[in-house]
Amino acid sequence: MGISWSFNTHRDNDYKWVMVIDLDKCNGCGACAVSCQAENNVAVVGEKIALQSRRMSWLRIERYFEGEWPNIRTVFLPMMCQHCGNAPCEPVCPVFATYHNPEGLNAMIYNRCIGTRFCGNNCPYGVRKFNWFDFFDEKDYYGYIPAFRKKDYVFRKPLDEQLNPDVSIREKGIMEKCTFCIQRIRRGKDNAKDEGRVVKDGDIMPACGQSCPTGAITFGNVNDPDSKVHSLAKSKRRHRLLESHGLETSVIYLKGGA
Amino acid sequence: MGYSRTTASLIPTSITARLIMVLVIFIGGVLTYKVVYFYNGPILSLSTFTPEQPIAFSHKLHAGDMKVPCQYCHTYARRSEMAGVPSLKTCDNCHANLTKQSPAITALKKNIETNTPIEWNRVYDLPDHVWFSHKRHIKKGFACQECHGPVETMEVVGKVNEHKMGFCLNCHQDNKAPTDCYTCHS
Amino acid sequence: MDRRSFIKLGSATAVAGLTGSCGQIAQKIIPFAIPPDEGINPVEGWWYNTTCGMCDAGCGVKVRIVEGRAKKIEGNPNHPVNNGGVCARGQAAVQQLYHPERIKTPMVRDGAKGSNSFKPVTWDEAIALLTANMKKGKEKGSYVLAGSSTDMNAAIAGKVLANLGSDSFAVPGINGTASHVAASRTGSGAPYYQMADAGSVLLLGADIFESGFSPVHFSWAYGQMRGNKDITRRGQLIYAGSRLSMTAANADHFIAAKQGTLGNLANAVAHEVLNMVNKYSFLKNIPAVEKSAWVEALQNDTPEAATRITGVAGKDVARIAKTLVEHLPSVVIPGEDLASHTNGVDSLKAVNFLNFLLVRIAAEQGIHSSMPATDTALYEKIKNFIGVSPSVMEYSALKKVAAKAKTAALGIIINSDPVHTTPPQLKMKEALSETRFVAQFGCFLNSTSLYADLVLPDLHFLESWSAQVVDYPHGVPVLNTIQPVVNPDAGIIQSGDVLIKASAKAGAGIGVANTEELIREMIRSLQLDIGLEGHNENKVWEKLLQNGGWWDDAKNGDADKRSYMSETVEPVAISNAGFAGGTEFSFYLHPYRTVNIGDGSSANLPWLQEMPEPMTTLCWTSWVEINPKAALKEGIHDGDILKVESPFGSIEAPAYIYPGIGPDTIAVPFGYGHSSFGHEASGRGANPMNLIGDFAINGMDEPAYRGIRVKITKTGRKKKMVREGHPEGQYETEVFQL
Repeated sequence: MGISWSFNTHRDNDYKWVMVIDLDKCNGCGACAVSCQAENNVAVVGEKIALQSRRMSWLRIERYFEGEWPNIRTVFLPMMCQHCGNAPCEPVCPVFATYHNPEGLNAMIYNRCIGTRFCGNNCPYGVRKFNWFDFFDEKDYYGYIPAFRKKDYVFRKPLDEQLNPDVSIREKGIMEKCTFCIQRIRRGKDNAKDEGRVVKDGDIMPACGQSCPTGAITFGNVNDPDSKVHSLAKSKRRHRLLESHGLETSVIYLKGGA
Repeated sequence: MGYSRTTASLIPTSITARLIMVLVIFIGGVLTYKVVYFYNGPILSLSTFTPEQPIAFSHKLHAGDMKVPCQYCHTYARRSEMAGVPSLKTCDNCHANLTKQSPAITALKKNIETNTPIEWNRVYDLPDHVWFSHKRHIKKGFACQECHGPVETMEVVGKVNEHKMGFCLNCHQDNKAPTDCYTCHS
Repeated sequence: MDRRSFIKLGSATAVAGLTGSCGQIAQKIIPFAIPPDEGINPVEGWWYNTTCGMCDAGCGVKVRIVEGRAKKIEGNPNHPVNNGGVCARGQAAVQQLYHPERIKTPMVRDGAKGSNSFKPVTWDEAIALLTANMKKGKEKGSYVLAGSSTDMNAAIAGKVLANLGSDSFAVPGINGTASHVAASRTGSGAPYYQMADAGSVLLLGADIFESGFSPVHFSWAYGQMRGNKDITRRGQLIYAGSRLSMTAANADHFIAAKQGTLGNLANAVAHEVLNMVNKYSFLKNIPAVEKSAWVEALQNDTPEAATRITGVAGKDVARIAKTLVEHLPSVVIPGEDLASHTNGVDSLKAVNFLNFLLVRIAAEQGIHSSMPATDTALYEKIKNFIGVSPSVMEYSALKKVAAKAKTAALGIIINSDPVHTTPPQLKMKEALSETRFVAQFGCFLNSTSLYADLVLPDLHFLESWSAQVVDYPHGVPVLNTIQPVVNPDAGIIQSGDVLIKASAKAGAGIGVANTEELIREMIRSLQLDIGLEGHNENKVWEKLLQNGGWWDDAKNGDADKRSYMSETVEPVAISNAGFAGGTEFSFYLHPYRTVNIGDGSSANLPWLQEMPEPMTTLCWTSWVEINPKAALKEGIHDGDILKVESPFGSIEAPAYIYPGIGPDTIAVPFGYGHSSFGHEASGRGANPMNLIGDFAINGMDEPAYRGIRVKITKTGRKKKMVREGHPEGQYETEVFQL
C-alpha cells in the first residue's frame, strides 16, 4: 500500500493500546453495543431524539449492502472511536479537553469540555457524541404538554442502581466517546502494579470484547511483542479505515474472507 | 437604550447601565480569577468543613491516644481504591471486650444489637469525574496525614486540605508521578 | 463538566465563593454492618456465577456486584454453552432487575376483566386467595402457562399441577424448531449440530445467531469455525432461505430459495452428494443395495427439478454439494424457514438424511462426526428433577390449555404473556376471561395481566433460586444453577415458593419447604462427580454455585467420537408446501424474531429498544420489509404506513425498503405491538401474531407461520423511523474491500 504501518508509538512508554476486530468473525449481533452501553453509563435517548441522529451509543454496528437481491454482500463494521495517532479532533479543541495520551489513547477529559462540538465536526468516523440533554436526570423532561416534549424517554429510578461506579455520568453540554474502557485499563494496570509487573496480554479487555460471542475483538498492548494484537497487527488481512488520511488509527480491522 | 449614540466611547451614559457595567466587570473579573486559579486550591472556598457525626467518634482518642493504626479500621485503604469506613463488626472487635460506657458507646451498642449500619457524614468527597486510588498511594508509602492532615489530633474530623486538582498535581509533580489527564480523569 | 456549569452560572458561584459559604452538602457514607469476605476490593466489586434467564438457551453468566447492586453481566468463560460470550438480551437483564415498572406488591383485580385496574393486597391475603382457588381447581380443573419449561419454577408448577389433578401445562408462543424436536428426532435425543470445528455448514433457513436454540453458542461456534487457529482451515458457511437475515448476511454464499422448498433443496443436495459418491467411491462400506435404494428414492430430485421447484440454479445445488463433501466435517442445520411450512416435518426428515450421508462420508474418511451423540442417561436423570416434558413446547399443548381454560377454575400464568405471544385465533384472551380465577406471576404487568384476577410479583432471576437444564444438547448434559446474586426485594416472594406454600395449604403440597431445598435435594440424589474427594454435600453445593452449574468437562472429548447418526436414515419425498390465502394475497409473509427484541418478553427494556436491529438498523419501532423493486411497483416509499392483511387478520406498520428480501415477500418482526407492557413497549409497533392463524404444519398442530400469504395496502399515513447510519459516509467506498 505504500503506507507505513507505524503506530506513532511512544517507545518510552510500556503501553500502546490497540484493538483488532476480525470482520470475518463479527456476525453483527450487537452484543458489543449493549455491553458498551452497560459498562460506560451511556444514555438511552428515546425515539424522538434518536430521530434527530443524536443517539449516544459509543459503539455502533454499521451495516453496508452491496448488490441487488439475491446477490447481496453485507459488511458489518463495528465502529467506535478509532483512537487515531494523528487525531483530527485533537487540534481543534480550544480548551485541550481532548488530547493524545502517552499510551496512544485519544483522551477525552469531560470536566474540561465546554461543548464547542468542534471535535465532533472534525471526526471522520462520527463517533463523538454530544450530550444535548441531561439524559440521566429524572426531572429533565422539557415540557409539560406531551406533544411539545423534546424527549419521549426519561431515565427513571431505580435504573440508576445499575450505573457503573467507575465511570462518570456526563451531563448536558459535554462531548463524549469511546475510551477503550479506560476504567478497565486503569484497574488492570493498578492490579499489575500490585504484583510488580507490567500488564500481561489478556489482563485487560474492554466491555465490547469481553461480551463478543464470536471472539472477534482482540485488545492489547502492541508494544508487547508477545501480545496477540502485536501479531494480528502484522496480519495480511489488516486494514485501517481512511488509511490515506494518515490518521494512524489504533483500531485495526481484519478483512473478511480468506 | 441607555448607550450614548454621539460618542464612540464604550462607557454607557446612564447611571443604571454604568452600574450594570461595573457589576459585569466585577463578576467577569471574579470569573476569570476562578477559571485561571480553578484548580489551585482553597483560596475562595473555605476549608472549614467539619460535619457533625451521628456518633461522637473521636479520632483523637482512638488514633491519637490509643494509637490504633489507621488501617486497622480503614481496612480497604491498602487494597482498594477507597479507604472504607469500618463496619460495625470492626467496632465490636474491641468494644465487645471494653466495659467503659459513654453515650456514644451506648449508641454504638444499640446499632450493633439491631444490626443497623451507622450513617456517617462524608467529610472528603471527590467529584464523579476523578478517579483516585488509596491503594496506589498507600503502597507507595504515603502517610494518611499527607492528604488528610493530623487526624489523630482531631476530636471531630474536618477538612484541612481542599482536594482540588492543584493539590493533586503539585504532589504528583514533586514526586514525578504521572501527570497525564487520564491518570485521574475519565 | 464543573467548569462549564461554572461559566454558565458564573455570577452565582462567584458570589457564593466570595461570601465564603461554599455550599458543601454532607453526603452519607453507609458502611456494611457485617463486612463481606476479606480480601475483596469493594470498588471493583465481585463476580457471581449464575445462569441467564432471558431465554431458554441457558448461558452461564457472571454478574458484577458492587455494594450489593448488579452492575454488569458477562459470560462465564468456562461454560460449555456460551464460552464467555453473552448477547445483547442477556446484557439487558440488569435493566429488567432495576426496571422502574416492576411490580412490588400482590394485587387483585379491581373492576371488570380487561379494565387494567388493580388494588394492592398483603401476601397473606394473596396466598389465602390462591389456596382457596387451588382447592376449587382440584375439583373443576386447572392449568399452567409458563414462560419456560426447563427450569425449577416450571418443575414446581408442573408438580403442583399434577397434585391438582391436571396435566394442562403449556409454554405459550410459537416455539419454532424447539417444538419440532420430536419431528426431527431419529435416534435418541435431539441432535446437536457441532459447528465449531466444521469445515462447511449449510444453513437451511436457520437463523441460528438471532433466534434458534442457542444464539450465543452458535455465535461462538461461528467464531471458532472461521479459524481461531489458522486461516487455512476457514470453515465455509452457506445459507439458503427466502430472506437475508443477520445469519444469512454472514454466509459466504447466500442462496435465495422459494418459500417452502428448502426440503426439496436438501433432497437435491443429497442427490448430488450421492452422485459424487459414485464418482469418488465414498461410502464403500455401505451395501450397494442401500445405496441404490437411496439413489432411486431421490431420482426425481435432480438439480434441474430443484431449479424448477426451489428457484435455485443447478450450478448452485452442485456447488453446495461440492462444498459439503470437500470441506469435511460438514453439517446441515435446519431452521424455521424450513420447518414452519406445511411440509415442515418431511423437510426436517430430508435434512436428517442429508446429515446422515455427510456423517457417513466423514466417517469413511476418518473424520469425526459433526453431530455427536449426547449422554442421554444422565440428561434424563436430571430431567426428572428440573423442568417438564418438552412436549409442553408444542402447540398442541397450548391448544389443549386454551380449550380447557374456558371451564377451568384456576389458571396459573408464570413469567409469560400468552395474550401477546399467541395468535388471536387461538382465543387466549377469551379463554382467560372465562377461567374463574387467573393468578399471574411476573415482574411486570403485561397484556395478560388485564385478564388476571390476582397479580403476584415475582423475583427476577438475578434475585432468586432456581436450576435449569439446558434443553438443547451441547454434547454434554449441562445443569445450570441460578442463585440470588443481589439481595432480593424484601417485599417479594419467589413464584416457586408461593406455589409451594399455597399448594401445601390446599392439600396439594409437593413436600418441600422452598425452592432452594428442592434444588439441594436434587443435588443430593444426583451424586454428581464434581472432582471433590469424598462426597460432602455442602462442598458440592458450594462448588456448584461457584461454577454456576455442573457439566462434564471430561466427556467433552469422548462425545465427539460417538455419532448421533448411528442408525440408518432413509430419504423422504417432499410434498409441495401449501399456503394460506388465495391469489388476491400477493405477498408471502415472513415473520421473524430479531436479535434484540426476540419474542417480545424483553421489549420493555430501554437498551434493547434503542439498539438498532442489525440488518435494518431500525429501533424503537417495528416495520414491514419490502423489496425495493416491489416497492417501486406498488408506489411505496420508506416510512409509508402499510396495512398488511392475511386471511386471519391485519396489522399496520411502516414500510422499510430492504434489499435483502425477494420481490414477492414481506417480512415483519415479532415482539412488538404490546397492548400493555409499560412505557417503553406499550403501543409500539405491530404484532404479526395477528396475521397468523389456524393453518398448521402437516402432522402437527404448530402453525405453519411462514406459509401465509398477505396483501398490502397503503394507509396514506407516514412515520419517520429511527435508523443508524454513518452520517458522512467518508469511508463507505473502502468498506467493500473489507
